[in-house]
Amino acid sequence: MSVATSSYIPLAERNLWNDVKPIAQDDGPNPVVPIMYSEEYRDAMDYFRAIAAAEERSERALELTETIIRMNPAHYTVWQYRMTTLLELKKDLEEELQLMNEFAIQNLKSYQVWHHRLLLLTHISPQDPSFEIEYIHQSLLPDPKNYHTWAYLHWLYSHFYTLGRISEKQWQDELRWCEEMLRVDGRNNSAWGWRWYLRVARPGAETAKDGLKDELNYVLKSIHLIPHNVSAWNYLRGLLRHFKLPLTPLLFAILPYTARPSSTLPEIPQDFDFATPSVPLPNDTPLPVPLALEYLADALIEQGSNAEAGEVFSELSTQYDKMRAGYWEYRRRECVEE
Amino acid sequence: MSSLNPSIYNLPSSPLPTNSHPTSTLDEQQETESLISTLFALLPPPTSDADGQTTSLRKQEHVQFLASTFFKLPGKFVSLDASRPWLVFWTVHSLDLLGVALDQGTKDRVVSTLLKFLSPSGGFAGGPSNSQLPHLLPTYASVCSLAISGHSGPGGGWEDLKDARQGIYDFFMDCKKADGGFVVCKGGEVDVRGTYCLLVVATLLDILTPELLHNVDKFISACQTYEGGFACSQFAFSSPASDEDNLFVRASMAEAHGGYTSCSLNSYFLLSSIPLSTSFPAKIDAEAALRWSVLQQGEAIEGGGFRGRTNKLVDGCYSWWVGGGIPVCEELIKRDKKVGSQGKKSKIEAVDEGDKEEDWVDEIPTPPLFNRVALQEFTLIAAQQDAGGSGGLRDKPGKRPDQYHTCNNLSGLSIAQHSMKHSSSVVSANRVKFDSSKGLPPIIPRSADGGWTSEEERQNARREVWANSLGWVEDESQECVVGGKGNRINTTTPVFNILGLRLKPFINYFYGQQE
Repeated sequence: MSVATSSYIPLAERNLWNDVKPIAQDDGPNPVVPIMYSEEYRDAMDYFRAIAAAEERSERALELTETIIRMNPAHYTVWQYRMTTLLELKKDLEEELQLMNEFAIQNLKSYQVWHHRLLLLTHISPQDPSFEIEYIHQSLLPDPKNYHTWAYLHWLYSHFYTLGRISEKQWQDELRWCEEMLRVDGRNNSAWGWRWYLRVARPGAETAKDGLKDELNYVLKSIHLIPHNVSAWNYLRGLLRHFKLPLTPLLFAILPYTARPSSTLPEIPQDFDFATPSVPLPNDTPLPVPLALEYLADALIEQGSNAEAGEVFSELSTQYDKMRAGYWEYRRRECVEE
Repeated sequence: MSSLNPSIYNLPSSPLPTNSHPTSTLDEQQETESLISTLFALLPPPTSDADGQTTSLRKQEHVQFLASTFFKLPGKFVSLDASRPWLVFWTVHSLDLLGVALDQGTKDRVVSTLLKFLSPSGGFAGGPSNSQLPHLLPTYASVCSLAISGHSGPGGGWEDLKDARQGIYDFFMDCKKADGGFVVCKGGEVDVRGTYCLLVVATLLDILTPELLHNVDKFISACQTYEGGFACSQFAFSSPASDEDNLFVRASMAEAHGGYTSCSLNSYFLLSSIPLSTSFPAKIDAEAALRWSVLQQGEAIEGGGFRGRTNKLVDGCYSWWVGGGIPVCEELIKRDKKVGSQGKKSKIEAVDEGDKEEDWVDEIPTPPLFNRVALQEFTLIAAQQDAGGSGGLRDKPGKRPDQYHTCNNLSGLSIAQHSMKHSSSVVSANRVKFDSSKGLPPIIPRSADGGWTSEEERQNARREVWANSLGWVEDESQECVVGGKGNRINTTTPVFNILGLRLKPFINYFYGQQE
């Protein structure tokens, strides 16, 4: 898109613009952080200032905003002007959405591209947002942790849910899609966050009613597949905290990762029906897993065995997770001093 | 101290166990582990090795790097044309941390440039106000840069800010949404970056009101995720409930992230310093935020830097975003305990008593909550641009340095070197010193009942906000500079991220308080 300066035809020399008096940028004398703009950008901005000052809403204004945005996709003022103009001219917003599909590929990290898209969907307000959901799923394939894209997907479902336009089948399909993302990469924390929304946070999520046991088993199985996966441990702890459940009843499901001597371990009760670790454990699974020790210590505190918990924190601090020695020492002091 | 802050050089360099389960996250992690551990093996350590070689903080190179873009930026920087106040802030704050003073002529240029960005209708834009709309993020960057480079009196920029207070307030109210969020600009997105930038400026300029703060606490609280860190934003689902304060069922809008966690924790600190009502601010789980934050610190094989999300890669910018949030978590946990130990006693009562038993809280030594030595080693070895190059600091080896990463690496380095505590006794002393007869005219609220209900309440809020803003002190006995005094940089203030010596005269100016 960038044009060599020599071949650039200034807007002043184009018939379309000869009625407009450009306005220069007012930086004052001797500014700091001045940018050596290309001729094309400076020229476009000079005319943008003029039409913005006159509040001109026109086709040529739209063209100009597109020119600028292509050179600087973070230009929020120009985006805002473009959106207002699109609405005033009653432009076909689906066409604009097509343009955004092209932009999104090049500017995955631009706040403005995603926000513009959100505004477009709000105005288009389709009865069925499936096409947009599908588009987002596709765009996550090459970039499965793009924060903007995931935040947008959260918004998409939340917004259209409040309009009553997400069917039960769509919720189910979305959960399956999310499970597929986690099957492909169980360490993708963005997908875990999405699962939390689908299963716990959204209005009408089923986990609170009768799905909690399934959910606990789902995350336990994930831990058993990848025992050093922090995402899965955090999800497990998140569930227990959110539903105010004790840690102790699930201890049997993670006890092998703590590498306690087997003589000190209680027998797994007959009626224990949560997923237990695979036998043998996956290769390259050095024990103990630090987050399993943390789990054990918190379960011990829950049982009132603070001194024992303190010893576990001490092991974390001095042997098994020395990077966080100070934090585990803080946890140790907290539980022995209370 | 050292056993609780073990050096990378004394820790086993173990890779993340694969659990025989390769995925793309694991691939990327292994690549980064290899990149960083190779560099650690190649470069001399920060404390001299057998041959007397060391890797030090190359301050001169970084100053050169910052200077090279301050007066002229090549055309490719057009992508930052709407972020010019940030280019200023990253530069002047980095220079402050490095202990480099700008000459008065340059400071004057900083002030006059930023005043061109101030919109006549209130708020700062990302560039000249004849080109761009005011925006919350540049407003933070401009105001903090003016705190650093400006002064009271003619031409110093502070008088202009004083005159702009009502306009800035009106701009803030224009950004406000019913659910407690703020759009970052007219027609813009809503997220906690905007909330943070707004609250810092409203705190510094003494323009806080109940109507501005309404529901802001609930918005922030709803951004906290199941992991303990915070997401960019939240969604408020309308609910049929009639209780006005619980009008919404809220859900966080993505996974926990370092940048948004920093904005949220800092916002929460500012909110919890304001005596608005006994139920304000809505609760967050500060212990969970602390746990999440310390878990983001990378292992020895990745140099002990911070990552910004679970299972993502370490990046020098999170030294500030995550590391800088840890002293704030520590203070928020302390506040929780204090409220707990005082039972149902209201915060406002607690404030008036200025009771002596609060002092003990300052006396309990806490262990360092993150590995301050390892983070400094990451900065020195992995985040500095290769010696003899352009200077500047970066995300990780293989990435180009830039002003943003330079500023955030250095801000995090400052937090690692200096032990910052929020001191109850300093806050109590500040309260006593506060002269409520001094100050600027009160802000005119948007709605008739949007302001403080009485002058007494307003003065109480001003006193608390001012006293708490100046409550951060360094425990100098805990200073820890890896590689010796030559690597020491100046002390930044948690929450605000400007030096204490910049914060104090600036906030005093707007609250009418004496040095």
